[in-house]
Amino acid sequence: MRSKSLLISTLIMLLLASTLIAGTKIEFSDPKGDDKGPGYYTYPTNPIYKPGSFDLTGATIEDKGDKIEFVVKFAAPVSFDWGDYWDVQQIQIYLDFDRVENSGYTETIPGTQLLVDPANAWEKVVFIDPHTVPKINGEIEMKAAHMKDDIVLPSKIKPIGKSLKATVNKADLGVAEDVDISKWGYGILMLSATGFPGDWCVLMRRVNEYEGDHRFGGGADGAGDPNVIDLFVDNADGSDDEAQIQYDMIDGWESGMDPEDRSDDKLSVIKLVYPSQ
Amino acid sequence: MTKRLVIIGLVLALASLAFAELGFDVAGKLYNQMRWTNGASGFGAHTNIWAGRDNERFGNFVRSEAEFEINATVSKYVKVYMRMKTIFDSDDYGEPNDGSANASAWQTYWTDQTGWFKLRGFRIDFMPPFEYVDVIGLGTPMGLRFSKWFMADRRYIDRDNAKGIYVQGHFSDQMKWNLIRMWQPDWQGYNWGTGSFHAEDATWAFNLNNVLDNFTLDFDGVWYIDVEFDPEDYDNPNYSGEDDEPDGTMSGNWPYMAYGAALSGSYDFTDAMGLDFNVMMTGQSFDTDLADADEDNIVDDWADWWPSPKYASVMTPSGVLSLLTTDPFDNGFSPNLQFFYIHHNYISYWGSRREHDLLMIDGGIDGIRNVYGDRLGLNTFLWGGDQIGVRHEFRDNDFLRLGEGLVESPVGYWGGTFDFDFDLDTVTLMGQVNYLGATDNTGGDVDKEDPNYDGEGDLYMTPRDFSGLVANLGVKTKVSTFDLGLEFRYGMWQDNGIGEMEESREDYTADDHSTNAMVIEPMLAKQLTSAMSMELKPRYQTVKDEYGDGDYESTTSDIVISHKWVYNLGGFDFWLRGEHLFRTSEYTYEEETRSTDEHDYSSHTLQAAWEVKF
Repeated sequence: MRSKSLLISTLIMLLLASTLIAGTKIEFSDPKGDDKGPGYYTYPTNPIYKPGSFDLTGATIEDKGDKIEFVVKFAAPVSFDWGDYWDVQQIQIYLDFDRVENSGYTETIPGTQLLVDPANAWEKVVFIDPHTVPKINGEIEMKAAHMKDDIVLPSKIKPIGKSLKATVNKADLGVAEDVDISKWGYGILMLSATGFPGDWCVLMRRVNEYEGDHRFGGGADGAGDPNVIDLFVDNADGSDDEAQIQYDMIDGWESGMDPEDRSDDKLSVIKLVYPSQ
Repeated sequence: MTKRLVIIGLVLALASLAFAELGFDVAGKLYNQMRWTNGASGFGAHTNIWAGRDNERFGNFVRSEAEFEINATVSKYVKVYMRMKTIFDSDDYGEPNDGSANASAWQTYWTDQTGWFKLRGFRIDFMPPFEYVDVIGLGTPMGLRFSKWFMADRRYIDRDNAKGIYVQGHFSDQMKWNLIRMWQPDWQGYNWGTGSFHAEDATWAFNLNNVLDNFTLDFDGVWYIDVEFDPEDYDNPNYSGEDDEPDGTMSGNWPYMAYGAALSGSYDFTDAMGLDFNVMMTGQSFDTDLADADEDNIVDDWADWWPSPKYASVMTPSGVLSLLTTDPFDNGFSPNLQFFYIHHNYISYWGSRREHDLLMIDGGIDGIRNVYGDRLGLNTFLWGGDQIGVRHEFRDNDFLRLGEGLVESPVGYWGGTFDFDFDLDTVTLMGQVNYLGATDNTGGDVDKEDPNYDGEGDLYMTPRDFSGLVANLGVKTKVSTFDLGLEFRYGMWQDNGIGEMEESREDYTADDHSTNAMVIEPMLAKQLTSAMSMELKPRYQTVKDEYGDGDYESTTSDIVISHKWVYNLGGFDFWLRGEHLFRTSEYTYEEETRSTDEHDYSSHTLQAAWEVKF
C-alpha cells in the first residue's frame, strides 16, 4: 500500500515538474486536408496509407537547454505494421540559422526534389526516418555524401499517437546552448519513407504520374516532381489560405520522363517559415 | 563472336530504351539468413520445455532469398507489377521431437523446394475512365485490402496461392468503396480443405468508408462460400438421391459458408484525443445433412485443429473499443485504454495471419494451452508477440525472418488494457496493465439454457474458468552516448478446467492450472560508428506453474543474454543476433511420495542475416 502511494506521488511530481520546465516554444499550424503536395497529389492505393497519415496539422519547437525538441503532428495515428520503427512518415526539418542569402544549401536531400529560396539557404537539416541509424547513414553516404555533415539525426525519436517527437542535441547542430531559436527559419516537410527507394532517393517514397499500391500519384514518372506531400508555409498559423500558398509554391515543377536524365527537370522552390517575422 | 556481342548489346539497349518509355522499373534483393544453435535439443529461451522442440523455432539452417520486382506503367490506364522470388533454400527442419533435424550440417531436406524462382505475386491495375471506379486490380493478394480482421495481407503468396479481383471506387471525395472477389486456395477451408470441387468456391468482400474531418466510418462485409456438386443431382457420379432425373449437368450446392460484417470507425474529440471502435459479427453455417447428422450443432467429424469453430451453425459478436491520446496534457503523458472481446466462435479466413498487430496488449495471449496442448500464452507474453485476426489454428508462424516474433491469436479472450507513455526530457516511462478473461468462461458449469443441452448428454459448451493479469513497466534514458533501459514484466493467470469434468458436473480439479511469471530486463545500446550499432539485453525470467491441488509444480528460471548488432555500409545490410540461455528447471510431483527433479541446461543461438537491395 505504501509503495503504491509512493508510486502515485512520484508520478504526480513528475507531471508537475514536466509542466514547470519550459524554454522558448514555437508553435506552427497547418490547414487540414492539404496533404496533396502541389494540390493534386493522391495517396497510394494500399490501405496502409491511411487518410491523414501525411497531413501536417501542427508542430512545436521547444528549446530544452542543450537540446531542441521538435513535435510534428499529423492527422492519423502512427502505425507499426512494418518498418524498423514506425511505418510510413519521413520528416525533414531544414534550419536557416543566419538568414543570410546564399549562406548554406539551396538544394534539399536527394530525392526530395525541391530547392530552397537562396534567401532562406539552410545550414542544417534534421532527418526523421523510421529506419535504423546504420541504414540511414549508409543511404546518406551513398546518395548525399556531399552534405552528410549537415544532415543531423535526432538523439531520440518518439512516435506518440498522431505525432512524432524528435529530440536533437544543440551540439549536433553546431550551435551554442544560449542560441535564440525563434530567429531561425524552419522548413518542415512531410514525405513518405520506404525501404525500397530509387537509387537517387534517400529512403523517401516517390510520387509517380499515376498512383499505385505503394506510389503516390499526380506527379511524374521522371524526377522533376517534388516527393513532398505537405509542408508548413507562410506564417504557419493554419489559416485556410496557407493550403493554396503551399500548392502555388511547389507547383512550378517540370519533369522529363526518365528519372536518370534530369536535364529536362525544373524543381520547385520553397521558402522557409520565420516565426520572428 | 564480336558481332554476336554487338547484336546482343544493341537488343539490350533497345529493350532498355523501350522499358524507359514504358516507365519500367526493375529492382532486386538478395537476402541470406543463417542460424546456428548448439545441440541442446533445440531448446531456446522461447521454447516450451514441456513440448520439447517447437517446430517454428529450432534447428540450424541457412536460408536464401533472391527477389526481382518489376513495375511498369503501360499507359495512363494500366500498371503492371510482378515479383519473382526464391525461398525455402537449404532449410534443415526435421520434425518436432523426431530427432531428424541435423543440428550441425547445412544440408537440404526439402530437395524439391531448393532455390527455385517462383512467381510470388503479380497484379494488373486497370484505371478505367469511369466516373465512380478508380482501380480494377487483377492478381494475387498483395497488401492489406481494407480490414485487418477480414481482408489482410498475405505473406506467402505462392504458398497460399489465392487470386482475386479488387475494385476500388468512390461516391465522393469522402466516401470510397472496395469490392473484392477472391478465389481461395484449396486448403483454406473449414477442415483445411474446400472439398473436391473448387471452381466455384469464392469469397466476396465489400467495404464502404467515409472520412470526414474528425470522424471516419467503415462498413466491412465478407462472405465465404464453398461450393460442391449436389449429391442429390442424378448426373453426379456419386448420386445418392432417389427422385432426380438426368439433365446432363451437375448442379452445385453450398455445404459450407462463413461470413462477417463489421462497423468500425474513429472519432476525434480533439487533436489530442480520439475514440476507435470496431464491432463485428461473424458466423458460419454447414449443410447439416452432410455435416451434423445427429443435429447436435457440432460438426460430426470436428477435430480440434480446424481453423473454424466446432459448431455447425454459429453467429457471434466481437469488438474492440479504444481511447487513444497524443499528449493531451501537453506534458508528455499519453494514456490509452482498450477493451476487446473476441468471441471464441469468431471466424475469419482472410484476417491477418501474421502481418498486423491488432490489439494494444504487448505480447501474445494465446491461452493457457494452444491447440496441441502446449502452454504458450505466458511464454509469448514474456517475449512479446503480435495479436492477429484469425483463430489460433490459422496463425502463420512459418519461416520467420530475423528478428520477427511469433504471432498469437486473441480469439476466445476478452480483456482491458491501460497503456501509458510518459515522455519526459531525459527519461521515458512506458507501462501497461491488462486484465484478461475467456469468452467461454462458465465457471465450470454447462449452459443449461442452451436448447442443445439435453440435460445429461455430452458436454456442449467448453467450460472454462479463466482469468489473468499481465503488466509491464519500463524506463528508458540516454546517458552520454549510451541508451539505457530497464523493463519489468509480471503476469499471473489461472484456468480452473478447460474441458474435463466429471459426470457429476462438479469441477474436476486435476486440470486446474495457475501460473505466475516475472521478467526483469535491463538494456544497453550504443551507436558504435556511423555504420554500426549494438544492443545488449541480459534478462532474468522465472515462471512457476501449479497443477491441480498443488500436487504438481514446476519452476523454470532463466538467465538469457541477448545481443544484437546492425551494420550498414554502401547498401550492404547486416544483422547479427545472439541469445545465450542458462536454464534451471525444478519439477515437484506427488504420487506415493512427493519428489523433486531438477534439470539444468544451456543453449546458445546465433542468427545472422545480410541483405543487398539493388
